[in-house]
Amino acid sequence: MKKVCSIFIFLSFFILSGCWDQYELEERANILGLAIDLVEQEDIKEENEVTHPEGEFPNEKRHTFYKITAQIAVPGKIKLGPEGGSEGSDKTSWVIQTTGHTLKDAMANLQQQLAERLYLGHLQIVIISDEIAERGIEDVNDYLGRNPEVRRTAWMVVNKKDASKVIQAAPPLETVPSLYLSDTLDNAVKFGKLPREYLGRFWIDLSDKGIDGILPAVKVVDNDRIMVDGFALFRGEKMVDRTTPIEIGVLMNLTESNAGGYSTPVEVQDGIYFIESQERTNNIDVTLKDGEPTANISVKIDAILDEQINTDSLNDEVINEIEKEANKKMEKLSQKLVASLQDTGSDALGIGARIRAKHGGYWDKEIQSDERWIDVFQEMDISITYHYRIRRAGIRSQ
Amino acid sequence: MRFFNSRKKKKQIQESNIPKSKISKDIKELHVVPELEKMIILFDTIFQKDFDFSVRKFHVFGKTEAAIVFISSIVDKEKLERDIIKPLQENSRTKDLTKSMMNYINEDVLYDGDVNKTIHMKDLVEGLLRGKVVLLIDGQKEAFHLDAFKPEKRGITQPETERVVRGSRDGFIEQIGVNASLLRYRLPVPEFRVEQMEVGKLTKTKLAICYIDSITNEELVEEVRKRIERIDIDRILDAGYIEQYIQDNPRSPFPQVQNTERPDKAVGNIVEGRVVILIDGSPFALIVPAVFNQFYQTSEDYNERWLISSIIRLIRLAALIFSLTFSSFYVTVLSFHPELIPAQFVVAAASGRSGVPFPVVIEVLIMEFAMEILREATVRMPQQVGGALSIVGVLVIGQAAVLAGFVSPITVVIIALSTIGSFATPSYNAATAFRLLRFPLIILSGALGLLGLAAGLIIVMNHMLSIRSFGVPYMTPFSPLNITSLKDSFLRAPIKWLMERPSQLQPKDVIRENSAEKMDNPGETVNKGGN
Amino acid sequence: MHKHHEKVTPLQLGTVIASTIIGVSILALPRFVVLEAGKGAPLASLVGITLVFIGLLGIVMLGRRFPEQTLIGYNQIILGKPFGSVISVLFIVYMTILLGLEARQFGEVIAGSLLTNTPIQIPIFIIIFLCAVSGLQNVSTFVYIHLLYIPLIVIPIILIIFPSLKDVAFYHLTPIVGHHPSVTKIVQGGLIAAQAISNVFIISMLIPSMKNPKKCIKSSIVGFWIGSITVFIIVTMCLAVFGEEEIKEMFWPTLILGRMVNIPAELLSRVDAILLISWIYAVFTTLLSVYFFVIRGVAELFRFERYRLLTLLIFPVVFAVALIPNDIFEMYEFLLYVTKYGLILTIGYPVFLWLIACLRRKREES
Repeated sequence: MKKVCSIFIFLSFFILSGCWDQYELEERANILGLAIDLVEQEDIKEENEVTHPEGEFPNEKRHTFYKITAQIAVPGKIKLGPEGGSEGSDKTSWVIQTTGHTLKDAMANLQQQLAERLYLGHLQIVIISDEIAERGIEDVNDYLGRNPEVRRTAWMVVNKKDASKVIQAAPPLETVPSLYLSDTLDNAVKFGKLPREYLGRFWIDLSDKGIDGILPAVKVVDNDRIMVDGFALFRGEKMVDRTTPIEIGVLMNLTESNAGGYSTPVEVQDGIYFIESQERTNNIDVTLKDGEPTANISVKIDAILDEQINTDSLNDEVINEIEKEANKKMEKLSQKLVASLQDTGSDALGIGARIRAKHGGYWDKEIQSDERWIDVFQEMDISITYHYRIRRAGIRSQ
Repeated sequence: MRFFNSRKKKKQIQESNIPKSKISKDIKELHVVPELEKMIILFDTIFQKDFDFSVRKFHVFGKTEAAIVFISSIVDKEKLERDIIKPLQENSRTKDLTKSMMNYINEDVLYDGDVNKTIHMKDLVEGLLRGKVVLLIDGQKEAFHLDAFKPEKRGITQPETERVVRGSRDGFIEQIGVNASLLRYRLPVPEFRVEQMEVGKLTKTKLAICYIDSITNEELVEEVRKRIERIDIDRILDAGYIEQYIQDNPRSPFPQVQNTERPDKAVGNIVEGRVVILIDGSPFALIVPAVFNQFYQTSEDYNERWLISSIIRLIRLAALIFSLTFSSFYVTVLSFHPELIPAQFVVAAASGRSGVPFPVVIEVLIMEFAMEILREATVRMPQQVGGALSIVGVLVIGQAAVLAGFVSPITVVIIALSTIGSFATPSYNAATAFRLLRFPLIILSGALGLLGLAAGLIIVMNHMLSIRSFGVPYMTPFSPLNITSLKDSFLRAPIKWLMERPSQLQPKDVIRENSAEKMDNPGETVNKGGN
Repeated sequence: MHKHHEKVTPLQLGTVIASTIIGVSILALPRFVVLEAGKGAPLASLVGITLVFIGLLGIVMLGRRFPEQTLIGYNQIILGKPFGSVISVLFIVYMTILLGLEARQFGEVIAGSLLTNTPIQIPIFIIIFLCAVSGLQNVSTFVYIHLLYIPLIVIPIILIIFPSLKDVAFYHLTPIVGHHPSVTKIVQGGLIAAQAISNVFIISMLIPSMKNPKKCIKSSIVGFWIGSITVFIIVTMCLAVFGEEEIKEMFWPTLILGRMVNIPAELLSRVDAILLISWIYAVFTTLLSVYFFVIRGVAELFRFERYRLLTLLIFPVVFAVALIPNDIFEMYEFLLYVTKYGLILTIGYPVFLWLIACLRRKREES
């Protein structure tokens, strides 16, 4: 009986003491997407005195004003079951904007305007503008990384100019735009069009020595969808350059090993052949030659032939020709990319990290810091060899 | 007024005759007297005006006066006339005059199978109440009591509570004799013991402890005997009374004694080294010791191929766990940790909940409670009304509640799943235990989210680990681990592999296949301890 | 009946060791080992595991030498009654403080990541309460609890770790001795790892309850390595996925590792909660072991066999200890400080005691 009693007391203790963390779904402002822009102080009419009296914000190293645009799912508007989906997404989600000195300041302002508790547990996508990326994103990372709700599988992407445009893009397919945006990116990973460079991985790359982070760069198409527009290359926490979409494929050839989804046209004997990579294995080999680091990247790609134009003479020899030509072409593209990486000083390939792992003594003695490494990286030799193999040519034999 | 009257009446009766309480006391000391008339008066005073108390006087062999005393409602009249009265009246004592009258009647005249002589009045009265016929012969210091018992009984039908698709269709009935015969019929070995005991001061219910001498652990049988002897109660109306007296932990919600209506299941358990208790008046036999592992198994599992049975058992176990945790997990996820489920689902669930006035905990509690009420109502309803109709009723109520904005549609789905999950458990009492434990779990999850759920589960599991059934830990063979018994737990290995009896029962003979040989020389037994 | 059945078997002893090792610390351990040893963390944890292994061997050998005695018992036999009792009191005080601090650490994780608005006293209270009501008076129930929980602890951890294999970057792991390698760094990291798993010596309270105390060696070794290898894998995986720099920025790398995992079917979008549930089980079993040691120790030392009352008396003490540190930083500082000096008791002392017992040729009179 004692046991029953004690358990009963234990139970009633909790019921009576209340439920501190209980927030029903509809009591949470479920932020699915967040866009972060910079604004000039002049653009802000009045400062909300939520976290501090006007004009008394502690001195920052550099003066910043963030404008955040949050997309919140509106519970009542989305229908369950098959009847849903027909409504446009303007009604099913709610886009609100506030400003603040820091991200937390802006979020506090936002919370002040909402009845529900802000909830970041389902944050799918964070869009930052070029401007912020170029200034450095350590503030954004600190806020998001410290918050226990934020999932590390969310995406962070960079948009040219206005980030809030992306979040306002209204895809007709999905009821909540942010879900569509993150699905676009998730599926791009599945198709092999994007490396798995979500928030968690990006942060790891940022803190690691000898490797620099990359983020997908997007742009809005026709106001209702987004397109992955290349990579934003970082050096430390600052964005230094953007690549073209084809360079995503090239970069992935060099570092990633998942299924390749990019196609390349190859010209052989008047004919143009489209080949799509299916599987790739790559090996970045770093060596020290006379105290100087060199890297040798070899890539093996299994590809299929998707299309042939201008000609009708596919055979074994032609295939061999195509393979050779493709090797040449991709080597050239890769060299170009690597050269531009070296130019901008962004070691997105992680060659530094590999040298650090393999030749720890050299790193400890000669390099030690990221800054020093970039100097070495810009000078080093990186050779690239491709080895294409075309496995089949669809269900046509010629 | 009425109360007063009845009391008065009682008083009159007591005054007019020997006081009631004195009768049974007196009988103990009384002996049979040679005068027939006196005997009949004595019986009259004992049974007074009972309408079924009958006395039939006649002459034995046409000379000696005799009387037959019986209680007509429980006596087979046909047998009485054919086997007792007819031979006594028709015969005349011609041969073998050397024998005494009593011996002659016993050995040469009566056809009845169960004839006893006694001089004690007590035996006679007790016999009468158990359907025996008392033969009194004038001038004799002894009286016969002969068996002519014929209770009203129903036929052997298929057990209602344990239906099987494939398996025998006979079930226990109320009469202990029939039930024993159902067991004997399946176990024709001399080592099979059916020990009789009697419990209940008023009901004097017969019990039978059934086990196999050469298999079942003696300590276990002794423990069962001891616990039954310790029962001090006036009535035993069903097996449940016995169960509650002999279980180890009366405070636990979990059943520690298994009951079955199926003779094949009872025999299966006896052969494994358990003890089966038959109780007169109840169609349920008790199986001890019973551990958690037994409550999601059915006898049918052994009839089907092992792969199928194993999968079905896994499903049942999953359904049981499901019915315990599913609704509280739902509460946890929706109120505390929506980050656990995909965003698409969160958005949909939030839409379903918009307009519902209560927190999820309250919503789930209300629905679970309504479900319990409906379930209870269905059990009590006549079969023609109940059954599927009530499930439909629940769905209709659910539908209406959703339309009215009372509960969210997803909640209805969750509650339905968790309720159906509990129906998949073959054992009614185990399923009920789990179903009721669900409520504290829901409340805990509603108060503390995942931590509350985990803490609640820890309490439940620790409780299950701490209880014992007749000394066998309740969670065997999982903890303590017992590899050989694990073969017949959530999986059912092929029958060929189930070579050993569960060692937690510490049977005298562990190996199944050679028990037939062992029976010839029971001295040599293999005993293997488990983990 | 069946009383002889309720003796502890070697298998059960092994599971008690394994599930005691996997405890509160698995969430934070990678961080602290990496802080000391950098990339040398896996090596350092192996060093730490070996250290504790030596201590465990000391305990097991003592258990073999005194099959009828617990730690409290042979303390007095070997060192004499007064001195032995002082050491025993030291042990009990150390374990009580450890119990409080680990409960506090549990509270911090829950408050920091799961229930952010709930007062920290609630999770602390719950976990101590769960241990207190779990029937410490019955040794067999205690070992059954460990036996049933160990798969519930190890399997989810493996399931979390397995999908995160695709996020492993091998350059996070080499060079295995770390940058600017030095023996001190590795040893310091090793000590941290040893501190986290050193509470295995609680089995000294179990050995006398075994069916055959002489058979405890093999199973304790197996159990120890199962638990330690799980801990080692956790440290290694965290390092392999995050790299030393990122780990230093988080309190509970293992938890974040759970957050990185995407399970394919999208049944649950985040599996760190599953990890947390099984971690709660791990914490429970570890704290239960420590609580068991304290209760049994006090009971034997003061010849006071009313376990229920003892449990009730020790409860507020533990709770008070748990509330001593002001914040999470102070809590970890305090915890590391206490367990560091505790290593003398948990590893050094058993070996020392065994040597003395061998030298003085003390054996149980039987």
